Amino acid sequence: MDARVAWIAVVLAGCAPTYRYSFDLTEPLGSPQLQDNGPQVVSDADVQADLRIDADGDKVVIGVQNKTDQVLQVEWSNITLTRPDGSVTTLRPGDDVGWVKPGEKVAAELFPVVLPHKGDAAAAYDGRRLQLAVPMIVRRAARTYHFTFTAHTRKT
Amino acid sequence: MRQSILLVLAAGCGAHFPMPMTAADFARYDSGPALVAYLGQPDASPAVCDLRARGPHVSAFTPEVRAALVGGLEHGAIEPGLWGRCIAVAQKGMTPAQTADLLDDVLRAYRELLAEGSLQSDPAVATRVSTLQRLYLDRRAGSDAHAPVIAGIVDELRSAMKGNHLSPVARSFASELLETIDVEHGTWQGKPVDTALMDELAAAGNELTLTRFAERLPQPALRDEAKRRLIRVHIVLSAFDEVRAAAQAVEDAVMRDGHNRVALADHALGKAWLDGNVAPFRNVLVRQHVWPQLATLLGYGGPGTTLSVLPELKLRGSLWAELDGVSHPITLCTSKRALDPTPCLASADIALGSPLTYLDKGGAFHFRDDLAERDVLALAAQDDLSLPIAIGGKPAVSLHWGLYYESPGSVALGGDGVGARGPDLEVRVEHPNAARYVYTVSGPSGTYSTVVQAADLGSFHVGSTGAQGAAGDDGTAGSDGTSGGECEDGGPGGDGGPGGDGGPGGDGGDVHAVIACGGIACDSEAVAATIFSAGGAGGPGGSGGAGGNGGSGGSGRSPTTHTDDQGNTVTDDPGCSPGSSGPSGSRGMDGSSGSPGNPGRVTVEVR
Repeated sequence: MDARVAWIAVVLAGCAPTYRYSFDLTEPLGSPQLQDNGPQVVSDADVQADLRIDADGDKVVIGVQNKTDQVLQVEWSNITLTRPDGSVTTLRPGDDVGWVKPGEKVAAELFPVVLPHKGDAAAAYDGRRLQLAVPMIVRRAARTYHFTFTAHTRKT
Repeated sequence: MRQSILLVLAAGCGAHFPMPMTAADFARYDSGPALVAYLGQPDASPAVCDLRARGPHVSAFTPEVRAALVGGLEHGAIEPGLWGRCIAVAQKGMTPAQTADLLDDVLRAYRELLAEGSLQSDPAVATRVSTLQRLYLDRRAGSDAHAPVIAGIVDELRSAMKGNHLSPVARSFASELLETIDVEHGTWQGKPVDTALMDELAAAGNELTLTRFAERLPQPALRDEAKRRLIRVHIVLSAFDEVRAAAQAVEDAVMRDGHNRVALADHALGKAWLDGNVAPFRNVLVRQHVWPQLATLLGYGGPGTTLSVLPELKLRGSLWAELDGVSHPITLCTSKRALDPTPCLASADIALGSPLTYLDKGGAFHFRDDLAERDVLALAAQDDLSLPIAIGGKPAVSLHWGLYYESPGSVALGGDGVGARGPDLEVRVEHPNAARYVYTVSGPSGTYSTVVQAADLGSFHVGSTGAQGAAGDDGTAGSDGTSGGECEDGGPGGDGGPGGDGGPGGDGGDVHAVIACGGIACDSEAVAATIFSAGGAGGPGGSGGAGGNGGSGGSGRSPTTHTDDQGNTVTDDPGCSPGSSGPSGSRGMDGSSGSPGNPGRVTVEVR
């Protein structure tokens, strides 16, 4: 690349708009969003989960409450995030956490959630879906909870 | 279907390879760029990275191969998951020194990618870093990179963490790496690791930390203690009442064997099935190489799609069985590292009743790449490629994949030598399946078999061809004319000689064909139309010889004079003009082409 082309490329990169993300949990339907970009809560007979994708912090924040009378294990090393293009990222908690005793709740931050923040790559995420798969052992049976988030991008 | 050749450019190497590349193809190339190209294909198997594999594999991880492989991940030429599996099996066949060299390369690539600005915003880069991190942190106990390489990277990362020089994503990776390296030195969050700490973690069901201890603590005895506690956590969570009821025995079995294998002698097979959502399903295309009588199996998505290699068959999670006395369906055992107490089937208990496959050490079945034609002839009678699976020696279930034979084009046996008659042939056509015909051609040079799909009969031919006739000799060139003397013309060039006539083409041999339809209705007319005998083309006539060049004319002579006593000019010699060149000779006549051979007699019997 000659110097002029390189210079133009740098200028163009510098001009690319920057985007911020927000996410709606669209499947399964959760309770109304509590606050801007705050956690959304979904629940079934056994598990209550509150979730939030923190795009600025590059993480998913998840809380899991065990509503059963047996220990519940989240398979923390097998949680995956599937992007709109089908690529899959395995997430891990920032701090090691154990199982969830009956009636208790654990919270964790899952890394890394890497999203493009500039240019067309970021804009293309608007309206697209990301799927979080959280495998658990609930009542001694393997079960995977799937959460679908719809991304919204806005220029900053 | 016509063969399509796709050329790929191996990343950064400028090497081109015809695709799809089977594992056997790769083993012939046996180079770093070829490994990257092979692994860049859909359904490529990491077994080629296994130095202990029964099937085709890389012969050695030379610095060139390692550099290409690590570069293949860094530059996105290999899907990270497949790359990780390749490296994982590669390490199993490496010496400690080779593993250390590989891990050096891995750590250097990790450091480079961690410093990439795009790590923060490019998911693909993050996935590559994650793959390298998992590879390093999940490596076998006792294997590591060279100490100076580790120390350099650890110092850099600690310094960058302290100075807050890492992006948030890089920081999350580096934290995990550094914490795990602390475990390798026997400490966890500033405390020495002992069994009391492990008991606390086990009571909390903290599998992540116990797994780090089980894999990374420096003392084998402490690693075993961590393993036992991990197994206990898994037993508490087990859905199998019989596992929890026999906790100590199961713990001992998993410590000893790595899994809780069910003894099939004690638990009769009830039923078995394949989970259609997990089991791999493909169509298989058989590519036949008629003359060497070999065949290759390829993955086939239908006309117009790109061919691929066939995937390995991993039956864990797709093959399920109910056994007497076992409270839930079970599948094949997972890796020993998982320390899973779930009752399971050992891969040694599973057999695929197909000579086309073999079982690797990792418990995955692979298709053989290079087969003899006789291996695929037997399949022609089947509607599809059926892979019967036996559990404990008893038939359990079958996988069914679509089966297609690529048309071999034409099979023409020619006369042996210029103008020779084609061989007499016996052709037998069988129709073992409504969709296929099997041709067996016997002649003096041997017997050749091939399978033709009924839909390809229109483009397939088999028969005897006479050899082409001998080419006529070229005519002789005419001689050049003689050069003229002084004042004389050159002589004429000689005419070229005529070219010789070409020899006659060989006659086609006699072909006797038997079409044995068996019990299946067949299109005997279409089959008969595929059988031929043809005479060879006549040899081309020789070219006429070129005419000789005319001789060059002689030189002229200037007049000479003198002056007499009276002052008059007296001509002594009037001189002469130069002579003309002689005419060139004529080109000889071209020889005539030889006559084509006659076809032999074709007789077809339909039985």
